[in-house]
Amino acid sequence: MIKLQRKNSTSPAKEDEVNEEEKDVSFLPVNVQDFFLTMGGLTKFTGQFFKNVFKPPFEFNEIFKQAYNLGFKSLFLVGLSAFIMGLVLTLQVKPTLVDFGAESFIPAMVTISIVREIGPVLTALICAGKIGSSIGAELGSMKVTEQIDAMLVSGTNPYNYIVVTRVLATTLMIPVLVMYADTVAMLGSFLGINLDGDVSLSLFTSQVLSAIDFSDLVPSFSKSVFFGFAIGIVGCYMGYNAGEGTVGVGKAANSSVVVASLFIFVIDLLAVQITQFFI
Amino acid sequence: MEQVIQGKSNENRNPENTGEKVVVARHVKKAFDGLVILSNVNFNLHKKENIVVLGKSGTGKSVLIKSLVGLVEPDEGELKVLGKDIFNLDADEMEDLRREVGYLFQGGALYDSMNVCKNMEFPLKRQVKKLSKGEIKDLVEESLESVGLIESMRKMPSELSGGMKKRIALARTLILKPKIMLYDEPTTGLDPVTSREISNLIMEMKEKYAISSMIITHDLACAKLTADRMFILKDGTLDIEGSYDELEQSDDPWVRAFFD
Repeated sequence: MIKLQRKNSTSPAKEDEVNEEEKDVSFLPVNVQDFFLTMGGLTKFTGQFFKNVFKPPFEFNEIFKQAYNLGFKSLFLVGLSAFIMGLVLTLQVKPTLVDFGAESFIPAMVTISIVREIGPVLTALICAGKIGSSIGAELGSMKVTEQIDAMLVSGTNPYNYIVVTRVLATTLMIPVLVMYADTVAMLGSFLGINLDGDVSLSLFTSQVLSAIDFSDLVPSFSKSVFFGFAIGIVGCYMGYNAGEGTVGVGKAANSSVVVASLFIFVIDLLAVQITQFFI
Repeated sequence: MEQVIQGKSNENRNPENTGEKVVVARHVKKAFDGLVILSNVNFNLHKKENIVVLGKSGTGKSVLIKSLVGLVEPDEGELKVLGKDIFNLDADEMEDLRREVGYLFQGGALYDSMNVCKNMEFPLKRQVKKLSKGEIKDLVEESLESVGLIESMRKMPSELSGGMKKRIALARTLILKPKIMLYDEPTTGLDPVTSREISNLIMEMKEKYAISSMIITHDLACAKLTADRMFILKDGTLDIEGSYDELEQSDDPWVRAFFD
């Protein structure tokens, strides 16, 4: 949105100043400049989110609609992926643990792997692909077809209606999807153990529950919240700043997935460091 | 027959249009990356007046009307819309001003994710807070009837033709009863029959709601039907001004290029 204040207008003198500044960083490769420009823009965009999130009108209906579209409609994909991951992980570790006579540790090992790392990261990456690209493409398309401008000129704050609602929806729904994925992955693991074994569901459940505690769940849930926020804000930023035409929309969708995935790994790394510091 | 005025300030010369000025532009300038698009734009828009701006593609016609609602920020000059200097408005004041200025986008800009009815309700629910559901329904039906598309209420934008999209976008804009309407190429891409329908609608809305309009177009048939005054944007200025007939009979080769 362009703020209409004369002091912000670009006079020829100011243009020269800007060009001078651009020259100062021109020794950097274009990709590096683009990276810093994106990070700067994203930081400003995030600041705008926090400025608008507490500002009425609150679009509750739109938040629920987005939560349904982005969360509920991802259940099948996330569930299927998690189930297969739980099953595969169990089948992979089983021979080694059997060799060591530690077959009874399979539920605990798989549970800790899933809850601490694989569940949140796998879910977030799947959602970065499915939800992030959909947000980027949708907003990019809205920008290209002037729908965002149409909201603006009708006196509606498009940032509140489009960005805040989607970011809140992903921030709320990713942790829920992660918990769902963890549970379904356990079922996959249960199936993996019972393909050539005989462990009852109650015994499996009690081994799973005894393996995890508060220090496993809290970091996992906390980083899921940040994953959700990152997916939403990156998708919205890329879409909101999409270039012209269909190429711009395609780039927005693509960049949403790439940048959000990168953020997920960085957040994961930071979360591990912070967790180790406290626990 | 009055001669086409060139190189003079565009004070209104039509005795019928000496009323209240709803838009005043003086020495408006805009450049993008050093490329001057608007070099010295001067014009007035009066109450219940339609002005048409002709110009070649890429000469800055859309930039000009976008600057009236703050979608583009001019670099210099004076721009008053409904008495408010848009350079000095904060975000909230700009939002208030935009509620009084309707803008019909070239492609209609209907919200893809909503059906026609929800598209129509969207600005109403956000701008006119105290309306009951029944009142909103009545207003939506009245607006859709005025553009002859009441039967399309439950359709999605993807199910509509280009002309229908434009008519519904016009109804969506007019539902807030704006004082000024800005039309960005309202008939571009439409067949001659639909173009005439849109042009007639513009005139109907002007008469019905006493709206002042600024119409950007390449379509001379639309210009002839709707214009009280016409401008041609050339070299970033609106110095060529006149009625449709005056411009049509001009000897200026630049002007003639539009009519031949």
